[in-house]
Amino acid sequence: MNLCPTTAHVPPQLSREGSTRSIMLDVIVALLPSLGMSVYLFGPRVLTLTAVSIITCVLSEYLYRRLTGKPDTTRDLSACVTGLLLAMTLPVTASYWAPVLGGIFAIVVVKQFYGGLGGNFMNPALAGRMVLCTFPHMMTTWSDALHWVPVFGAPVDVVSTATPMSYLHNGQLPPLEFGQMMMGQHGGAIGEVSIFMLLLGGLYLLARGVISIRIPAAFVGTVALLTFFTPQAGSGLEWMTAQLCSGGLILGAFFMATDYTTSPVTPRGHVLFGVGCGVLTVLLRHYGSYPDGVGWAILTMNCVVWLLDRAGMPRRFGVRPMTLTHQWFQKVGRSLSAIRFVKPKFHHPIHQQGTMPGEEYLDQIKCVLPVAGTLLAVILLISGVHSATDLDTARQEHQMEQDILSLAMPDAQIRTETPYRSPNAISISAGYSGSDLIGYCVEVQTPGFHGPINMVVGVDLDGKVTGVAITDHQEIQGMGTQALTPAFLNRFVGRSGTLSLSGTNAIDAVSGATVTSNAVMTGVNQALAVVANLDKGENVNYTDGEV
Amino acid sequence: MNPVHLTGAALAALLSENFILVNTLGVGTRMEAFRSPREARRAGISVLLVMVITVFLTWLMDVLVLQRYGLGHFRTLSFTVIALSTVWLLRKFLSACLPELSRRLDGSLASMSTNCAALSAAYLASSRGYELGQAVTYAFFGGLGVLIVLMSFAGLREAVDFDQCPRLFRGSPIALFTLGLMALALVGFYGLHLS
Amino acid sequence: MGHSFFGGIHPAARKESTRRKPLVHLDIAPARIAIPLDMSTGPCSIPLVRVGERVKVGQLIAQADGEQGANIHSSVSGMVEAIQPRPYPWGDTVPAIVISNDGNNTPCSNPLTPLVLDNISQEDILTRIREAGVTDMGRDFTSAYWKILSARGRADTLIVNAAESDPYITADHRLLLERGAQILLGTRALARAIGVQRAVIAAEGDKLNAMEDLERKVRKKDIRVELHILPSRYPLGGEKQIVQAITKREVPPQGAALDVRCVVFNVAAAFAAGEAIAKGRPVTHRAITVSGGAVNRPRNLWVPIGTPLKDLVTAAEGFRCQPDLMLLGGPMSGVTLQDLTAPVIKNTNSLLCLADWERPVPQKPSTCIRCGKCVYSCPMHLAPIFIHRALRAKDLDQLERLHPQDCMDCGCCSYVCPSNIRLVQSVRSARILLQKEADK
Repeated sequence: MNLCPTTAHVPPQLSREGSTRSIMLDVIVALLPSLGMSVYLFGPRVLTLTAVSIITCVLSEYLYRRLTGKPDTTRDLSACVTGLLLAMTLPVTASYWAPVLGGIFAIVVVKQFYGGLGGNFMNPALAGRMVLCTFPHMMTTWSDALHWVPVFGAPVDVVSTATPMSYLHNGQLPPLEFGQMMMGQHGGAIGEVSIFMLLLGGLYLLARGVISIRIPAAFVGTVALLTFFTPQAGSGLEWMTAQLCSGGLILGAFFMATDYTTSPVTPRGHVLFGVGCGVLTVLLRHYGSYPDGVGWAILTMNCVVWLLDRAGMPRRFGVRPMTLTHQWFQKVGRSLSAIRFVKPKFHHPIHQQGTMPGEEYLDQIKCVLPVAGTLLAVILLISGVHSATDLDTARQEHQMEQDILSLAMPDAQIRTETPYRSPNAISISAGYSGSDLIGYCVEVQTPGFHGPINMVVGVDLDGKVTGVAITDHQEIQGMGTQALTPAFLNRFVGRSGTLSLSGTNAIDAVSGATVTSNAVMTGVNQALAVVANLDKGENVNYTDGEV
Repeated sequence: MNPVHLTGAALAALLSENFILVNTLGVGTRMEAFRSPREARRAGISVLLVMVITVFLTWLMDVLVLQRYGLGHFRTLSFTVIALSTVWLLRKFLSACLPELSRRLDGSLASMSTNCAALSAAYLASSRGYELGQAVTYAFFGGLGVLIVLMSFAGLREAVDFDQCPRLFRGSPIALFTLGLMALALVGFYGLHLS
Repeated sequence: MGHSFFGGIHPAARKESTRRKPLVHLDIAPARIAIPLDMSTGPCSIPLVRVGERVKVGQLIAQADGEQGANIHSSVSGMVEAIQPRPYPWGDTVPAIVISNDGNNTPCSNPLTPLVLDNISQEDILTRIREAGVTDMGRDFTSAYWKILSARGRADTLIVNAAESDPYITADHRLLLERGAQILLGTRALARAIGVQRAVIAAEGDKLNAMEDLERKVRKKDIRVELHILPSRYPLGGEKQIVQAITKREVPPQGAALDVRCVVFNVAAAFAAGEAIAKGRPVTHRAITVSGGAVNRPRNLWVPIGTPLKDLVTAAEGFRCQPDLMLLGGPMSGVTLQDLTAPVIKNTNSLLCLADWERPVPQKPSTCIRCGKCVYSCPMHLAPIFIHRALRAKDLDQLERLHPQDCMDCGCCSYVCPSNIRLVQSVRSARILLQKEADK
């Protein structure tokens, strides 16, 4: 007989001090230095915004739980943390309804609809912020540091400034010293300017064991590595430092990406998550339309966390390291090798007694007949409609052509195709008035804010722009369409050479639609270059410089 | 066909113009595809295959026949016929020659007949005037994007409890919310361009 | 320095109250002892004495039954009162020999003769260890004879486990400090008996004074025993963890240390082997820590085997307050004591009487927040969070993939969980569920 103490085993009698509430308190404490610095930089409006945000979040969680009959969870302070983080991503000039909207969305939809704490798959504060990004004007008005914004009322005398992130997005180094960047003496969102204070908070969390170094290190490390090797201005080191200290990178890496519920659970998963966030952030910062890609990167990675968990499961104790991978490959290999090629058997219909030769094929044709018949009918219908409306369609197209021509090259009456081809232009056509060649209409496509913009640019034989007509775009009302108005497009008439937004040969961009204005201008430059190089008869080599 | 353009088209199809999440096309795959990762994988692979073949064939049809002979008004009809016959031919081919693959993919392929992803890929490639290489890359990465989104959603469904919402939202509404939240995450990629 | 292992936690050691107290005999000798006949993994030992017979200290009173059994010797002198079922420390009853103590501690008349290790053969060592009734006196109580036999030809490293990573317990520490020479002798004896080249004594960093002392002895006498000091971490005392820490080899799932060519013995067993050879003394006493906030005087005791546990409490000068919980073994994985009349057996190493202020207030489990701390702290590389979820969803495929049968019941996951989820129970239930499915 063998007695083993399994029947009387009891759970561990000791337990770590700490609960969810204490962890949340730690996070709040870690965010306080940054908050304090922001008050110093931006004024007491920071505090009121934060208060509104926190109150909204806590209240919406309490009300939701009350109304749906679930136990109250506001005691664990997670709603407070969400509110605080949401407030930290807002610019100080945000209106007071912004945190309310963002907070309600974050708590009710993103968090509570999935079961509350521990059930959501997306970071609530970030999701709330992203919803607010659909009000782009409000979210991109930055106030400069040390110019306090009034607490109540619309901020009218805001000294708006370009943040370091907007400089970087345009491919320039921000004109700030390292110290200024670290302490936050520049424009930006409330919580993300003061890198030094955020790092202090991050160190506090690390020391308390609330977060592990993996995600922040992987995230920041990847961004550092990628930006060091791909600088767009200045040396690798300068570019990297500027990138690391601007935008929401430190705030995101230490406080948002490390959110327990929406990050992987396994150590290896953490590293993969951080690396993925870093890669996406750099991709978005260099090539995307929005200046700061941190929030979007983290949200995108949140959607694949379950996959990272599976990939990052710790190796089984006692089993060799690559065994699981090896087994997985074997499983996939077995699964794929089960797929074998089989020689197809063609069924020839069998000739039966008492039937005419070839009748067996008739049955097969009978099945196809209805489909073929319908198809034929449809083709006839289309041809008929086409020929009937052909003329009208042609007239309409002609009318559209004329409209475009009147915008692009008012002096021309007809436009004809030319045999010229260029990789930078969709088509090159020539505009004639009577039998005189007036100039060339070049159709180009450039990337706008939300998608490509197609335009036809008329260039006369002296290399001057005669007009610009926008044929297709995907910009959103209020977020770019201001730069597609005739008033703006008229600024291009008569210009030549290579245009830029500043310096000599400058075009004034429309404020609030810089990217779109830039896009139109790039298109015009492309068209001018294409026409300038037409005589050479070779491919035009146009590079996007001097912007 | 320079590599930057190709990469640009690839990234666009994958992220900033993801078929399911940004263009909201191709959500009509069958319900099982949204339930388990295995079904999602199969549906995604079917979409990928059908898209690439369809876009290839429609590009040829478009450039060699429709544009040359000025038959642009037959575009809709011919593209539809090509898309449907691609699905039909593919199913026939698989069931005759690769029975194991057919067993796995047949259900998803059948549902592809009513899926708008392939047709819309063909349309977009045609209206943007892509060259053949660009069009096929666009279709391939578009299909890949659909595969990734379907698998992500199915995996999320297993990991996250969708029944915690108010009773009114259970079932399709919360699933659509989730897809919407995933789409929200991709808004940042709009307008991504590599040049 | 040894290599560390993945996971583990750093609970407060709480060893201050007994760390500096030397091993002493009980002030008041027990009036009656009850030595269970079942103190090894084999069948019960066969009693050799009858009721009414007089026995002396060190006399063989029960014979090992087969190779896996162990000899049992009397730890006091007196008269055999009864051979009857008596309560076992973990509940239930086991046949035991009850001896009333006459208080004289008369040594046995035909004791085993002391031997010199260098002059005897391998077989002699093995015979002596068997005769002395040495078992592995740690968590597991295999007879040393059986362990050595099974390891012959299969092992290349002997590890003497003096890690003692559980909070409160300092018995092995004091043993190392005070009886270092015997432990070294015992280690060498075991190494020769098994036939391994490498013998290691492994202890945690908090036993630095003992290890330095041993280091001096090793250098003075040029003994070929390695001394490793490992960074303190619970559960370093687990067999798989100490093997990994010293040799960097991992025991395969459902395997034992022998599968990676290691043999692990507790330091108390090494000491017993040393005593058996050098002094001819069989296993009659062992070191025990009595600690906890509920006793008046926590101390380390050198206790005769079979002493009722309440005599240990008396030796610790009684209860200061009503104990909230009494445990055998550490607070992380120890067994709740049912009955204070149960005796000390060969592998009891502590009696903990915890007061209510020493234990955290039990909280209700709340929702899992996916912090991942259970995954980081599991030394067996499990993912308790997923096991818990899969168990709730009754997803057997997922449970199989998560292999909960690897769990060693160390309690680290429940310790770290901020939501107070009973993870140890979940993993255990998962194991039982899978077992039931496998049996079907």
